[in-house]
Amino acid sequence: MEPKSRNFVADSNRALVDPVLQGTLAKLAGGFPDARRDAVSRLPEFDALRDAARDIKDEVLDNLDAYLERFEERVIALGGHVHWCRDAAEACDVILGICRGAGARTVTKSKSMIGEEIAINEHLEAHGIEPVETDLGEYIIQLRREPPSHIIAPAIHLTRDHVAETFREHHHELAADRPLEGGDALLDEARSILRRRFLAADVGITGANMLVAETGAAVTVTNEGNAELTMTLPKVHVVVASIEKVVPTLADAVTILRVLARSATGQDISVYTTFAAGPRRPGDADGPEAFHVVLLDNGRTATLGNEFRDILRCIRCGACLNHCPVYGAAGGHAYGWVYSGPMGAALTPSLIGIEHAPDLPDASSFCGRCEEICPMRIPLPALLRRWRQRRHEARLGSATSRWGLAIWAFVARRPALYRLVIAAAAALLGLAGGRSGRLRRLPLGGGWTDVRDLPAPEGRTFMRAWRARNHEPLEPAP
Amino acid sequence: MSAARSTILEGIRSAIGGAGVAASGGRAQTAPSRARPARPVAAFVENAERAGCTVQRVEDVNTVPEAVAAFLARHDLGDAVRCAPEPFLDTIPWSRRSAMAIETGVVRDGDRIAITAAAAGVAETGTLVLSSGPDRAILNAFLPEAHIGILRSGDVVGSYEESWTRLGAGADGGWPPRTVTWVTGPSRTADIEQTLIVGVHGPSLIHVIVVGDEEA
Repeated sequence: MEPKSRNFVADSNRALVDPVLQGTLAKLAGGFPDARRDAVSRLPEFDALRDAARDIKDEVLDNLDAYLERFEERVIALGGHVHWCRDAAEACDVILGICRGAGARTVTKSKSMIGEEIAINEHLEAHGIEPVETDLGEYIIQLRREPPSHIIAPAIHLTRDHVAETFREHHHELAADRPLEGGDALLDEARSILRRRFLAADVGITGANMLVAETGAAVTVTNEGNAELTMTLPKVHVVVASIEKVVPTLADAVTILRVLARSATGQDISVYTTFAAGPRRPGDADGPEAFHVVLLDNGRTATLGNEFRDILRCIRCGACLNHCPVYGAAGGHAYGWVYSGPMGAALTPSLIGIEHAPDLPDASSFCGRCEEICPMRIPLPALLRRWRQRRHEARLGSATSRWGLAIWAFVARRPALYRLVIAAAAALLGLAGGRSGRLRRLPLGGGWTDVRDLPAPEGRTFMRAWRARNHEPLEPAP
Repeated sequence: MSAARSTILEGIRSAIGGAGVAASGGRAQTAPSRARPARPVAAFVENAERAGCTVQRVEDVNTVPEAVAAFLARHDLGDAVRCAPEPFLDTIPWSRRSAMAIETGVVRDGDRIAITAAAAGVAETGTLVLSSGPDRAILNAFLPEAHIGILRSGDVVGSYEESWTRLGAGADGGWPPRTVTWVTGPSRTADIEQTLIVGVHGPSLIHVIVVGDEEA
């Protein structure tokens, strides 16, 4: 999909007044975060495991070329194929080539954020191959032609009624007057429709939560079981993954799995975790005849070499979305592309350019919850702050904010001037507040005063009040 | 695409300042305390039940047919059962329950119940470890409505790490299996209004029969 991230401000404002969206987002606040807290409380070593997980990924990133080569070597030894792709267009062409080689008419897909990133569905459709998403949430949004609004719960913005309406519109083969009330009925219908698609598919495309260099395995994590049916039933299995997904060993994968589901949904482990390595072996009772791994760069090597490298540790658990006040208010679609929430705000500018997402660094109150709960200890607020700096350097912000920052910087570097200006401003605002002590309008402060009053300062600064109280100049404590 | 391969690898090397080195050994890691339970079988049972499985312990293979029959009756699942072609499952005296129709092989669309043998059970989360192979069909754990996993009590281990050893990690030939799947509870989703529903693509019922007298 074309990124619409530059419309973040307008789209998030629209989201704030959408009552249906606000209703679905309200459920998020008490759901995943509470479940995560409970799961973490059952694992006293959780923080130590986060440190270990961070160290694993840092070591991988420091030696990424070597681990990718080891992974490739293992996959080839098992009879699989590895395809290196610099960008989305190359990856789409490789996958289309594999599908054509298999004479594919329909392709089942297990939810993949990389698949979203490269827009593989559109590419296959444009060339006459029908892709079918099999994760329930992803299937629903595919029918609706919407992007995912959450990394692990792509249809979180929809209600039961939306889903029923969507199924009635698309499942023509079923009686129009069938009852479709309640989640169970919707699920049964999706299950029976998708079961036929699974059995008919020629190629199965999955993402990968990790790639294990030691064994050449792609690791998938699901609760539904759709990844396993996607990779086992068709004659070709294609894994699409970005290059930073590699981990050295099975033991390392285990460490990361111990923090992944707990952070994501608050489960101790997801229902299904599958390590798939290579095609069917002689005598195997089931499995695909061919196994392909599509390795995607798409801007990662550049990120590896700059001050945004830490985002490459991300394991896409979605915890930062679940704990973010901005995501919780605006929802995922406002971010305008594939990734949302704090990790989306930090990653998207790397992948599509800050000039196409100039407001995403502002999608944070800097409350720090995202960093506090991130299983990979990614300093998300610091990354967003760096993006604000980059944006400023690229002269992308509004003229008002750039001038404001320049003036503030000038004053802040001169303590005497700073104190003078602040004292004058405090005195003026104190006067303007009058007896009510509140300001209803403030020049340049409309963002605040449009929706609430600003409490006026008392008239003097903290420094002056302190001095008056102690009758002496402010000195550092001994 | 070899041009792409070298561009990407060169890009990485220029970003990290030279060629990286893949470590030869694993790093020292300690499994969390819940992966080192004093009574692994008891911990396995507790965690598997928490994940939504039903678990039954039986003394030996002779009582398995009765346990399976009781499970089928409890959930009104009929009497046709697909059993994975594993040697261990062949040792079960199915004839003791002649009312059940046991067919051996890979599950087919329409089969309601399938039985697999688990390569291991992991106590830390109540996880069944399944693997692919000539006598092991991964699909048996995914296509039917109900999945019965037979687990020998001696194959219950504390941690995921130990389960790799059970599967033959490091051994020559056959390691690693093409597919290893961990199953922890029935298939589920919360994709519609964040409400949990079980039985999406995989089974809605998972019954684990633990065979043997460890910690009995």
